[in-house]
Amino acid sequence: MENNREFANIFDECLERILTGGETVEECLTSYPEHASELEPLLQTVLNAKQVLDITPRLEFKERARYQILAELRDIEERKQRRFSLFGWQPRWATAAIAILVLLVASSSTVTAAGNSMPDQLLYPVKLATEETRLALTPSALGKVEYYAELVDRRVNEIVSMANKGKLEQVEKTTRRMNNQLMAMEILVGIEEIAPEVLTIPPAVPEAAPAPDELVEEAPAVLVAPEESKPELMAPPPPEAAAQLPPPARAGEPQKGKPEITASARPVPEKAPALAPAPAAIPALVDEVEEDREKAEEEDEELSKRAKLRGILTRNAVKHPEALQAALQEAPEPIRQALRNALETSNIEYEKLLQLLEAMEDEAEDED
Amino acid sequence: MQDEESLVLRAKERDEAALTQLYEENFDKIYRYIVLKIGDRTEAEDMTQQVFLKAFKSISGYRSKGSPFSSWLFRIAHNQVVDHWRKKSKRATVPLEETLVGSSNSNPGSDVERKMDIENLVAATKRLTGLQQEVVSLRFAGGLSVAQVARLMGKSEGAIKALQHSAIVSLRKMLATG
Repeated sequence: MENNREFANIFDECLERILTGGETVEECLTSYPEHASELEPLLQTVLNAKQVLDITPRLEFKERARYQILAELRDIEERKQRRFSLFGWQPRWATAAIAILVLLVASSSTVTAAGNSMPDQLLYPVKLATEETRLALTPSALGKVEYYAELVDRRVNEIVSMANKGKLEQVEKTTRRMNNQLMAMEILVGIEEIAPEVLTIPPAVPEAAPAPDELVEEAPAVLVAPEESKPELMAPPPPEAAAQLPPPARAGEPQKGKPEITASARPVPEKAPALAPAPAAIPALVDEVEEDREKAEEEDEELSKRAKLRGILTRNAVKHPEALQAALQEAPEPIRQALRNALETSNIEYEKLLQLLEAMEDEAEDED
Repeated sequence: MQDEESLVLRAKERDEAALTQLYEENFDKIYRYIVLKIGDRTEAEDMTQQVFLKAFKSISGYRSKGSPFSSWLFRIAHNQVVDHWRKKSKRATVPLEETLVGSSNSNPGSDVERKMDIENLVAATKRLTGLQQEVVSLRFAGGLSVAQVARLMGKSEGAIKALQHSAIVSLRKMLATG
């Protein structure tokens, strides 16, 4: 054991003398003649390994990577500064004023022309600014994701166009933008995953309506847990109000006209009318029913938006890699690696996005 | 070290000259370390780029604690390699011979020769224990001293010397028998 440790020290000392001190193997061996036969092959192995490992990355790759890294760092800094100067310190009215101004300007011919501009054109920054403004003015997460999907579509067209023109720098920059936008979508969709009740994705097939027993749990507090002191809350609806109520659902049977109705649409449980009638409560219940109906309509609208989003993403997940692949086949050699990066980014990010959506769908199904 | 500290301070301020210097001084070492770990030169280039991107993005949080900046880079590179293998294990594996196709070289003859050598070395290194692999990669691909490797791996210098010795003995046997 002690011998081993001693030999390991001698071996390391020789290595240091050879690797950093510039001595030869022979010179070192003369210092330790008693270990020479054991040391020599080991030192030779290290020298061979060092020789084999004397490799370097391609110079053009190294330079391009440095350029990309520094450009990305600059982008990050610029974004930070822009966020701070545009929306960070200013009072709300200033933000609103800027937004209105941009909206007004948005109707001008400059912005219209910028809408079709490409990354190598003068008006392109106007296009990006307009996009950022519209994003800032889109209130809902779902709306933002939908708009991001549109932006990614634009970025892919721009990448293809720049690749056709042989503009490497623009292909790389636009790829980074595309990547950032896909990641922003992911974050927004991820937020939805955390709060599925806010933004769930509807299943492709209409689901069965929940059984009445399940609905009792979800019904508004005023319709359950009767209290002796408040019998009026349990009053049955008058015939005209009852006509507006959704019919009681049966398990395994989808409701006509509202295939995606959820428990939060709050149908009236069957048991409730049987309890303590009180005419004074009728107007309140009518209001409640009306509110529920409006809410159900809003939810239906939301669900159809989500279904639309899923459709867009599914189509783009196929369309975008196809477009990039086609451009890759036509592209000149210097552009190819950048296009491969764009293709890889697109494939990876869409895979993640669709997986997230699928997970949410499963979660929503489990909850039901 | 003093110079490196001031360089890192400037890099934290997003001084591009300082970032470039850190990049130039360390890129090849990190690249070699990754090549020896994964055996694919093209993929190692991309991964090395990612290491620097991650490092520079989060450089404001870097504290030297007496270690060279490269130690931090090797730590990030190590995590990147671990992540690489984790992802790889989920996908279909590619035979080592296929992944070892190197990048362009002016002399095709020597490229084949070198490719074969790297191939053997990577294959032999893979058969070492995890600790031995790490010592060999950091010492001979990354070019760190025993003291730096010891600090990075949280072990004594004596332990690193012992691991270095046993690793080279095993490598020699494996390379001799093929």
